[in-house]
Amino acid sequence: MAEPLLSVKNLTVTFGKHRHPFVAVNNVSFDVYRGETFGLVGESGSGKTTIGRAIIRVVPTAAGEIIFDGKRINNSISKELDKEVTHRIQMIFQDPMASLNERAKVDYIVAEGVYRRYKKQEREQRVEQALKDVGLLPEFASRFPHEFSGGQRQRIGIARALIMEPDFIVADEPISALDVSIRAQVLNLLSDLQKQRGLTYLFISHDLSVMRFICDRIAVIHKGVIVELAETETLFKHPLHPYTRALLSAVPMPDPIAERQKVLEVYNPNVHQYNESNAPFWSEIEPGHFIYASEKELLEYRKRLSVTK
Amino acid sequence: MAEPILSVRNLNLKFNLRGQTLHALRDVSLDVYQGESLAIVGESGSGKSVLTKCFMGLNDANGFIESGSIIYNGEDITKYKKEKDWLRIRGGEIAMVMQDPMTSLNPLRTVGAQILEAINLHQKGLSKAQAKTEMLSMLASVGIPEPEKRSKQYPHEFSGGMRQRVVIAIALACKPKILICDEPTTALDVTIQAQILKLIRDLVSKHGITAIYITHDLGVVANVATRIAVMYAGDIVEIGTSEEIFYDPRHPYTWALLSSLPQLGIKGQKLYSIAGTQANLFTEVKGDAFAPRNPYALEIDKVKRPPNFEITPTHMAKTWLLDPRAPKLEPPEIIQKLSRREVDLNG
Repeated sequence: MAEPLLSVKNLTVTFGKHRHPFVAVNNVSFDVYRGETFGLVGESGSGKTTIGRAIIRVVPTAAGEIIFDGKRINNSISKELDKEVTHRIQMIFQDPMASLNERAKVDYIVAEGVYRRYKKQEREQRVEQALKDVGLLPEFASRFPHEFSGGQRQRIGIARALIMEPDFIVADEPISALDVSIRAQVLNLLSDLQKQRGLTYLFISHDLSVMRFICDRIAVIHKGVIVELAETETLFKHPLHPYTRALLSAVPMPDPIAERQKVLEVYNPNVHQYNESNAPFWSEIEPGHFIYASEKELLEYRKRLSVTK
Repeated sequence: MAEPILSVRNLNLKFNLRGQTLHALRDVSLDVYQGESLAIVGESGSGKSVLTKCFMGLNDANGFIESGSIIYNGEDITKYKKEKDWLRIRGGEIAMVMQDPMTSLNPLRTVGAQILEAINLHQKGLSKAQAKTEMLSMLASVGIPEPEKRSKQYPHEFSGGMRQRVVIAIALACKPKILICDEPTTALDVTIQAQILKLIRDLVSKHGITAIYITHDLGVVANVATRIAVMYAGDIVEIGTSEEIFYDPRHPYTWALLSSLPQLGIKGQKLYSIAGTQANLFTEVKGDAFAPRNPYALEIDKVKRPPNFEITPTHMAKTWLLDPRAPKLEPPEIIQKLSRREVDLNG
């Protein structure tokens, strides 16, 4: 776990080139180690998807660096590296209803990325294998997307990513649009594939209950700033940042008595009262547990940590 | 419990689709009691939306009620033929909050005008000024700040959660007796979801409205429902108070739904998933519809449809496992853990 496959360093993404650009991602840094599942959690509009899109080079970055396997991959890079990155980083999208070409058959949808890489016969073999890998029948290759259910379509989306033989997959809310029972199937499939192929995932979601199940480490992002980053266990046991606590309190639990007693925490950014002498910064409060807080808050958080331990 | 406000008896509903008939509701019986919060839970295609759409006459024209009755206010509403009859029910008696707040508002009219429309239709005899005051207080009561300013804005100026609040305001402006919430939070973030559920729960108890929630996520309903009905393949397979369903579920399908919640999953282990696909309702279902996917299925499940077994006066399940002759069976470990209340996010 020592070597990071992907490092994001002081990444800033802005939209709009005019006088008031909108800062979607503000000075974000994190490392994703080889073979792990790194979770990015936040509400809509927090910039979590933008980070994922910056990594697959769809969104230009305003500042900072994205380093993949030792090479910088953001903004302008050589043609060869661009091709390599396209092959090695793949994305799984949120809505399986919208992310497949309605007018193409499954074999083309899956093979599109490798259309020029392999000859016809090998291509067909690879499509067949990719479909088998995600638990679909090879016969499905000659059908259209509308003939499939949501869960099957999401599997087609995963097969399309797998055929490229990637090392790194950005999974952007891959199960939010699915039914509860199908969610379980897709989550199991993702973790099986990870075990078989040693894949590294960046898992983007707004749902901490899913995160707890699949992620090794989780970063909590709010309004384009990562406010807390820790191993999953640590984050659930000792959430420090008020926003993380609010997110945790919102997770619905299948326990009616506990639910009725639960107090919903609502995050109010004004509680920090940040100013020039009390400015927040990114620091490591305990090994592997990072937090965005001011000096004063750090003291308070440390006290809380020593009490709970 | 109190009097049933709505009672469904042996309802059979079919759809004509491309020359075939789809048996969407198979002999459903259900009582909804005054003032309760009932949740109907099931996978997509289980018929949960179709059932509640029957209460408002909103099913597509190719659907027809073959037999059964729905008694509301002493009248059998399945006999309604004309739109005029339905208009008496819709809004004023039973109102609905749809799933997607992005598509259920008119993008061309201001939010205030859309709420006023409901007020003018359902609260007759208010003057223009009174109606406006009512509209503003409605907006304030669903937690929209600066109602005066916000009421003049269009839906695109609102976020998803705020739009869902507007939809709730419209539904409540009709002063309904029953509020149906069809997946009210599926399109929303977890934090917003919790807020909206709390809002609906508070408003419903404040106005004494009977609420019916439809959802596929059992995790969500623990917070809001007093009673839960689990639907599978067009039938209610288990119904009980929310304590009974969560702490003492009896139907294997309820076990399966609960076990597949990611909240209960243990990292590194496989999350339980229901094998197979849903029953095909185009053909006649033989025996228990869930049997082909049920690891606990008995021989009789494949032949004969199970009747309703009563566990307590409020708790009923349709599974042969409850028959006195059936082998005794321990529910899966994860369900036992749930009944011992040993589940929490940190563990």
